Amino acid sequence: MLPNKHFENDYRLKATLVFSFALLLFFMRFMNNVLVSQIGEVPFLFEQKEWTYRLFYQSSIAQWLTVHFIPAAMFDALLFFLPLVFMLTRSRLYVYGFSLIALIYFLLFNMAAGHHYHGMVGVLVMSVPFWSKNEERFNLLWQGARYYLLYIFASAALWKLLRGSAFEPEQMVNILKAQQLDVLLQQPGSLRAVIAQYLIAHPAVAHGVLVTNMLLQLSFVTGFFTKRFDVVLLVLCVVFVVANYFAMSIVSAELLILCIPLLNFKQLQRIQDVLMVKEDVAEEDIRPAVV
Amino acid sequence: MEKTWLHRLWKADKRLFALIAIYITGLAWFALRQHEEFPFLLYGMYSLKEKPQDTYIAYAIKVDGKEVRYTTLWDLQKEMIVSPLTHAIPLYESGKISEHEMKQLYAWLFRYMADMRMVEDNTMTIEKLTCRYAPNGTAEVINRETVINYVAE
Repeated sequence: MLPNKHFENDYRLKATLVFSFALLLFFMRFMNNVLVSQIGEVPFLFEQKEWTYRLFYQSSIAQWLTVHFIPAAMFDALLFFLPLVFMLTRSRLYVYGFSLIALIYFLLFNMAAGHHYHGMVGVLVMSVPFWSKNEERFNLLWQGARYYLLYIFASAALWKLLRGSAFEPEQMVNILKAQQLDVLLQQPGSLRAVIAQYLIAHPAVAHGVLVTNMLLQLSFVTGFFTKRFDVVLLVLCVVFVVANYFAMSIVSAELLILCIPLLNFKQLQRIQDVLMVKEDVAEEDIRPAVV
Repeated sequence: MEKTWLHRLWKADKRLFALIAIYITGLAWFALRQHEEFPFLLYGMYSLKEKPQDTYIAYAIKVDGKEVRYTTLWDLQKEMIVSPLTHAIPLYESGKISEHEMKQLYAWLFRYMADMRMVEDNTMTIEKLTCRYAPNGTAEVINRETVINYVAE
């Protein structure tokens, strides 16, 4: 049982937002043909240097799932079933299961692709606060998820400063030449190719884009000291995702789930309360008078 | 100080505080070594200095003589096709992957594309393209080398 009505509403609203986003994310992965049963029997899962991946490889879960279609399809179904049932029941058992299944999928996909993509981390991080129904612990973990988003962007800026790459005039041009080659060869008339071509031909502008991006990422440091600019950070996060696609052909929309803690939940709660009051009034209006 | 998240965490739940403290320490430890170990992820986001190259390598996949325009596919779909290939071919060229394993990879790639209705024929050709850039930013292919002519059974 949840201790009070206000927290119950808050918890329900947050759960709905987070797990609806997770469902959307896995639906997009289904449409992309990259769920476990869709990947099928990959001939080899790439040699791993990280110990977590090595341990996972030793467990043989990935090897077994990729060669057995029916268990793989059931596994994929769980990626949808568990968040859906959690939203309806809010029983923590389903969140534990979802976190585990999502973690296995995250590791398996990265091993099959041969590259450690970070996109899915947002879903894993955002599922953690729901492991607790204790109000104080939940709120602290929710804040922790917000700090994780701040860490992602702040560290990306600091790495660029500390490694000195932000001060290299040719850095962005060299990145674009490697990153956008496929687009330039296969879709030379597309907007992405036109942008890449322009930036490669104008290194000073490209460097300006790199510095602007670094400053955008650095602005997330403010979030460690105040929540006053959270809405601005939310907008900047969306700007980053859009710009990342057009400039670098990188789709980082999955990370947007981590922006949910930047929302002003007090305001959302007020809107929800007003709507609920209106609903109650409307219900009373249509209820027949009992004498 | 008392208003900080870590202090409130310490006051509310000592065990949770210990777990978070271990995680933060782990992050710092791996960051100092510039080495990533899941779940201690480092978000460099292209922060390593990128060296200029005279030429760049791309791969072209042809099915039934027509090139698969994988850049028009959805992002993850494209990654699932291109990423294993771009990782496996250099490993094969340096002798770390056997010819048998490569054949298995080509068979899987062909099957995977067939499942996505991208295949009408049973032949697939993979070419390694060596490219260079012109001063105006356009990329041109200066050499095409066939990696495999695969015929599905």
